[in-house]
Amino acid sequence: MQTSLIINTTDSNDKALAKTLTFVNAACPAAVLKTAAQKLNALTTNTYVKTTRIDKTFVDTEAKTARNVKVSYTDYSGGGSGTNVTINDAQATVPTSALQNVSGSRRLVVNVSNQPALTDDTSRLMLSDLSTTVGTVSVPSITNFLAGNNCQMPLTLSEAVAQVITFKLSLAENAKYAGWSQSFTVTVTEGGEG
Amino acid sequence: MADIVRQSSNITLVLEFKDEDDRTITLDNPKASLSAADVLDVEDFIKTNDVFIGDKAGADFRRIKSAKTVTNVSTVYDLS
Repeated sequence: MQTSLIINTTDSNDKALAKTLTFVNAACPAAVLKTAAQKLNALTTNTYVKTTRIDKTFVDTEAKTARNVKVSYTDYSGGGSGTNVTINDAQATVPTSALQNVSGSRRLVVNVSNQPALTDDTSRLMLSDLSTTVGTVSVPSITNFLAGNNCQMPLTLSEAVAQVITFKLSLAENAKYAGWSQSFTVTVTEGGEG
Repeated sequence: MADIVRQSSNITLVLEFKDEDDRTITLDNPKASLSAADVLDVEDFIKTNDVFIGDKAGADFRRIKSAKTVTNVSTVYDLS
């Protein structure tokens, strides 16, 4: 997995600036990355705005079971038992180029691993804003991931097979987590049960 | 129209990794009061927390090899 940081700042004229760093340690905790970005920015007169972490996962494309998946999320905060956590604009773009021009129903599974530990049953990591460049994706009636790692959400593509699927991950309102230890990872595979 | 003078500045940090590879970070608008201690503070945080890694296995961050600020002044002359 390749991890990058985008540090967004503004200069003294309120002009937006963005600095991308591509040699980031994927194992580094999110809070540390944010502090590192702020420390780098402290060398300048720019005003810190936010840090975006991008995890790009390259997976085996053989046997029609895996796709390149890019996940990014922006400016989350929180940590500590029972602390509210927010994730803003957490989006994933999933190229499914290998499925282009293939007709018929396809079933995909969105898999979220390394979720933070939930502290109550009302907290949910939700999938929303599904869209495709071609065709549609049917969403199951239950649109929440349950607690725990490696949660799966089955999706069914319509006959017009998508070239790209985008979706947004968000937390249930007032979600409480035990704290962040590492980023979550999203992968999409073809197949799944049901 | 009068001549237009523009000034820009940046700081370039050269990061050295244990595989002898270097990576460069350039940031616009460095503080005028910037000191070596400020850069060393960043270096210490990066090293302590393993924020950056090199391409090869085990290529941990070693140090900030150099840091320099550059100021560019450009003048657009009024030829009218």
